[in-house]
Amino acid sequence: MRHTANRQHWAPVFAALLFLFSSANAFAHAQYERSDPGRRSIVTRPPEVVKIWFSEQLEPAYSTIVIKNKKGDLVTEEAAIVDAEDKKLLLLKLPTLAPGKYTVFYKVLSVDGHVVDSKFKFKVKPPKKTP
Amino acid sequence: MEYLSHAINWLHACAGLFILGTMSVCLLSGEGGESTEKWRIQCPKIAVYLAVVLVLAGLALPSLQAAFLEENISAAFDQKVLEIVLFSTRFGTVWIIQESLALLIFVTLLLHHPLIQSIGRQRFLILMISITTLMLLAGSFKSHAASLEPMWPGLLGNSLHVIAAGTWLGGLPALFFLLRSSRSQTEQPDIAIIGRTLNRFSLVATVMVGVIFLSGIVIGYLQVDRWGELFSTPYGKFLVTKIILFFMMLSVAGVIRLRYMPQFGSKPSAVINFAIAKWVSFETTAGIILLGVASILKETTPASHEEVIIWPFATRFSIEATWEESSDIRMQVNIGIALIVAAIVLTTFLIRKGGSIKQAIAVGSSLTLIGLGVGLPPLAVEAYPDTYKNSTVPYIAVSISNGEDLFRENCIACHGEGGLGDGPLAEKLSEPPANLSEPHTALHTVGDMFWWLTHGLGEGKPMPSFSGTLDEDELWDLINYLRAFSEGFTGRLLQPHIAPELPFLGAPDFYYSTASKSGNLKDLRGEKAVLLSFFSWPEGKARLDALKAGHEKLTANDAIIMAIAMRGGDEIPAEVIEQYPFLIITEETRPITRTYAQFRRTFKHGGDADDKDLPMHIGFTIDRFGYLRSRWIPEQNPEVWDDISFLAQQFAELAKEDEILPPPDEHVH
Repeated sequence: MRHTANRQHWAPVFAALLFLFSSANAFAHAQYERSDPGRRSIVTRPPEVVKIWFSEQLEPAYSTIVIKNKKGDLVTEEAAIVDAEDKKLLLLKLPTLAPGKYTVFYKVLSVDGHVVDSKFKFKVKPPKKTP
Repeated sequence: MEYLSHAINWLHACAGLFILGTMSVCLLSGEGGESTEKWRIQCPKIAVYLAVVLVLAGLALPSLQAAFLEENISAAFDQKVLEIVLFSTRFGTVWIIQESLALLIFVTLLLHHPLIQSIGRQRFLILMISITTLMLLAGSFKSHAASLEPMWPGLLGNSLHVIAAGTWLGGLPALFFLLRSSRSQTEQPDIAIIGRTLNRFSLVATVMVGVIFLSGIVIGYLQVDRWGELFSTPYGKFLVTKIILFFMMLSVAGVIRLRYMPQFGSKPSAVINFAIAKWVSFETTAGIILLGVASILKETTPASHEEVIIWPFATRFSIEATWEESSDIRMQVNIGIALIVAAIVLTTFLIRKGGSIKQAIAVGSSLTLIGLGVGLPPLAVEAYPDTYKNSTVPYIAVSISNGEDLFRENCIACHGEGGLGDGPLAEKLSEPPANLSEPHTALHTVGDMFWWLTHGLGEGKPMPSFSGTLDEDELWDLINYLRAFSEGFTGRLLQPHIAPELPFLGAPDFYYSTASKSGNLKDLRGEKAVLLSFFSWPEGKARLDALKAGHEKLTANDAIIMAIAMRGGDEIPAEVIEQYPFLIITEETRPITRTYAQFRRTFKHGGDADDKDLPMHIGFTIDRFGYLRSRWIPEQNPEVWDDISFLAQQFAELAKEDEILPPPDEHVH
């Protein structure tokens, strides 16, 4: 049994009207869900890999991540891969990142055939100075 | 290119559905009759042409997909790109299956004459229906439903939806030609067969409309959040067009069923048949246009992901924002609903009685309009072009915390530090600033807030525009903070014990990074409940030690402990952190602390300006579905703060709960 929390009770009625006779290919897009490093996060330990989770399964052939530093230079030329076990997870291995600000650009194709591209930033802090 | 793509998809959909429908109507007609036999012989021949369209339109689809993915028309003819599209994407896999089945349909139809002689007409028709159904069902595997989890409800809904559409809409042209096949009243066997087919089709179509409705509910429940997007996005407007066309088809079907079918047999057959055929042609035309709209929709950005959403009206209708306002509102709405129901009943009665359709529709429409005039105005609230705008910044700790900074910089002069509308400038303003602490802020859409912040409250109102001061991300940060602030007011209901199966507050997501681990709170969704323990150092050492002692007991029911330093995190030596068997987060904790501090408010301490200081410790339980379920503040709940058994009992209760849906929103609405 499932419980419903705070769902608008009239939503199914509108939903029914909305989708009456909609085509077999009703679709949405693979949306960014979360990432490691997180959006706008500040980390002390440079990440070894960027992981981005999406709301839908991805097509490996058309899913990419590009990371640039503050100057706009690419930090790696490696290609992103879709995780073999979790098809919603896109990964990119990174070299050791120097402290600074980075922008992650991603472009993904979901299995329903639609493309989403966007970006987010994170920052690597200099390591703590040990006394 | 866009128009070509719509046209090809439309042809593909029409051809597939009409083949299925034609074969189904042929099967329903049974055997016998002279004119109808001619019609039966014609049906597979016409279906051959439809199959040619199906195959040719299908051949163009990979090129269109390649051009779309590469955003370049020349990619449509690029062999490498086509190879990737066909052999490395699900679109390609499904296309290969669909196109193979389309070819099989074409060949089988081409060989219909020997096949019918060999296996009989009925078996041939069943074979055709089966192959066409498989071809249409395959399409669901590249639809959105196929990427949902669990996959089966959406996939089942989608599949039933398209098969029902094929059987009903797809069968209309064949029915039209059948009705036109009987030209003389003397063809008695044909009259009986046509009447039988019409009755059977009417019954099947009624069931199919029900299937379309129910499968629409399933698909819609999985995918729809807000109805306002229907009028404010291109996707929504096309969808409304489809719904109108659907109801037009239903109305025509209603006229045939209620007005003409009872007359079958009582008037010359050709007259009745031709009259019904005329209405069926209207229904078919509406259906063909509907499929065209569906093909456009297929390639339009869904409303829920549309960034440019412009509400065209100065008002909107909201049950949430008005229903609890007064009993008069509820009564007016109920009277309006009663009038609309009466309109439907009366119209149906007049048509069945055999009166003038125009008169019946006029009476029904008038009564419906009166019902709408009575029932809708009480639900109207003011709206703006941005009312249904979607937030582009997730409801996460880092955004909420930045929003709080922006609030302090820009808003407290009027709204006050506690958001109660009692800032130093409040008394000098022409209107008192809003009390942001109350739940009414949740009754406005985030788009309303975005509009007010961007444009101000309007001429003569004291609140100015912030569009020159804050960029779009910052405006959404501020709105995320206001929502967290408002939810904190609701959060006063949180108690140390959980209320079983009654979640009401989503736990904002946050990112953490420690020397050994990094991740998001949301990573645990669906797997673990969380004890979120905010502590101050060194005062919180005793608390951490108590959690360490009770660790086994506390985590016995699929739970984990996350300790977050509110103060003094930098002073905790790494070797001390390592002593604890749970995650201790000490770096960049400010956004997390400030976000969850919104939920420290209680009925005793309302979170106003006098209560802005954080307590030294505070604890929350978050269930495995992402909801905040209970809270402890040692000063206010001393009787349970040190009771680890009580705490473990809460996790035991959470572990017993069944799945809670839906998960908390990722974005504010």
